[in-house]
Amino acid sequence: MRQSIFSKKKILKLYPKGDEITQRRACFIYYLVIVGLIGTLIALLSTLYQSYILPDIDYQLPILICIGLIHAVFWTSLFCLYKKRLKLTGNIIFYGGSSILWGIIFLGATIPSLSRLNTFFYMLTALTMLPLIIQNKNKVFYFWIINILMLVLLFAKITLLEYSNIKADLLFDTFFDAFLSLSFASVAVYAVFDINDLAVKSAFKEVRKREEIAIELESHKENLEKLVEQQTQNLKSAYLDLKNTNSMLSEQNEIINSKNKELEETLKNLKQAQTKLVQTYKMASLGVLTAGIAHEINNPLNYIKGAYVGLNDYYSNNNLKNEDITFLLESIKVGLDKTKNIVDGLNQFSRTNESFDEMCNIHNIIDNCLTILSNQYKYKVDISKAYKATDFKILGNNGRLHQVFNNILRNAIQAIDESGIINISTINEDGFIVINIEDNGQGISKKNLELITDPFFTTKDPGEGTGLGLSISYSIVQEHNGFLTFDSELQKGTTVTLKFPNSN
Amino acid sequence: MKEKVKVLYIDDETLNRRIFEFNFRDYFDIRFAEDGIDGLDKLKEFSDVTHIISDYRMPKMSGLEFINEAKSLYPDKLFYLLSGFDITAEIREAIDNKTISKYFQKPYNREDIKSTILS
Repeated sequence: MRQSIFSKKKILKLYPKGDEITQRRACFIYYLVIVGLIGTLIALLSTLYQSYILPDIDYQLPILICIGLIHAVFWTSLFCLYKKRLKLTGNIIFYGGSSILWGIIFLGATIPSLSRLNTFFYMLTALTMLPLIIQNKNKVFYFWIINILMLVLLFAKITLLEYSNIKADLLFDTFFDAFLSLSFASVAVYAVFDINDLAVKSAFKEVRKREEIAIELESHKENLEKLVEQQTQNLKSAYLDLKNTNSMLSEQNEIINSKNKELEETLKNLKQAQTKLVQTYKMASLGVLTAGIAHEINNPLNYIKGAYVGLNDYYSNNNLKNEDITFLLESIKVGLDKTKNIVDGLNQFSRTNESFDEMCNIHNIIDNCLTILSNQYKYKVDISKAYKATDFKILGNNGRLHQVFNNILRNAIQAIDESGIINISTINEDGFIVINIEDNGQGISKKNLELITDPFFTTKDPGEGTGLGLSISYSIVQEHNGFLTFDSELQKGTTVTLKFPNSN
Repeated sequence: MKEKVKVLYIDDETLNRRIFEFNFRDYFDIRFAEDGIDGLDKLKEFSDVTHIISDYRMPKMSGLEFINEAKSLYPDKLFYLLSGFDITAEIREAIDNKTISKYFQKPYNREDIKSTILS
């Protein structure tokens, strides 16, 4: 390490990463080494000069003063210049003073008349070195030993010069001084070395620290990389998990959606079923009610009719019939017949236990109904038939279908006041047989059109209708999976459309 | 004079029985019973009765129950049901298996009953 200190380039190479201060410190060591060597050389030269070249004291003095001053100025300026960078304590006076003293030492050492003072100066110089040495606390002990050795040498010289018989000649004195000079210089250099060694050390320490930090950083980096890798792996697996979960969720979502649709469908069906059920329930309860009413009316009607028959017999058999009696009896008969018709209408509701597996010929049914109704229309209505349907048979209940057409045709006839036309047409369409019954009668108002299939709704005069005909017809058509629709305009007529699915 | 057809008429209502008598006394030889149980008794009593017309709704025993029981005892006799009710599945079944020869609805048509019984 010491060897490397001698080359500035090497130093700079050594601390390429070092900061400016570290580099400067290293350079300063280099300068100090040179300076130490120059100092030593100057000391040697001055000694040789004063011993051989300039024996004459008169010329010797100014040169020595010059050498001493150069020494002083050089060291002072160096100390001052690098004081802060070397983190040295003391001020310019201290370093200047000690350097001047050093110069004086050189001076004193070369003046025989000052020989005793010379010793004192040496001691002082050694002491001035102290702060410099103390600063390097690491090797304090070592420097004290060097210092003490120097003092011992000084005392040895003094003792030799003063108390021995040996008259030290100038050469011996000069060599001794040169040796001491060298020692001082080397001490100074050593001290500075050490300072800078510290600087270097601290620089190295710093480098090491940096290296350590770098290593640590590297390991951290590795750790970080590992961590990142692991995290990436974790993230990847988490992502995969999420993906799976997502696809699972979307599958479940699909299932839920389809279930939802099913549920909606079911709900719809349920609602329809409910509506149907309510309708059925209404009709059923209506059936029970009407059956009860029919029975309750039919029974007393039986007395009246029986009594009427009996009375009629009585008057006929005894030849008591006159115009009045005939009118009164006829009135009873009309009343009876009307009541019976109404009760028969009510009774249609209670017919619930009949089969729907008969083959029903729609054309025949319409013709039968027209025959039954003939005395109601024969003087006022023209019937025009257009049976275009080729498949006119449906599966169902013949009696009930007769009821339907009977009701509808009777309504059509009753809608015509004096004279009119009823067009009846059939056609096959999309697996259905479609029957249109069109009259040019009085028509039905829009408001009433919505109500005509409601039970007990009627626009006929009281006693003329129960308001049940179309309601029953509607139920029967539904029982046959058919459709019953009305289209009407007031004063123009009504068209009733029936649709039944064909049997095959 | 030809002997009249012997008919048993069963109805819990007096008025109905009396009107029936008024309407048919010229054509039938009529016996009466007030309900099904009475009807069975009367059938035992008047074994020469050939036609039985029964009301449907009666206390103790319905007309149909009476006819079912009586028909098993007297399979050769003819039974008719008369009711204010419309025809029911039960009645239709009885007609189909010939327990009941015919079903008449109240208010009855005299000519219908007369021609049926006398035919």
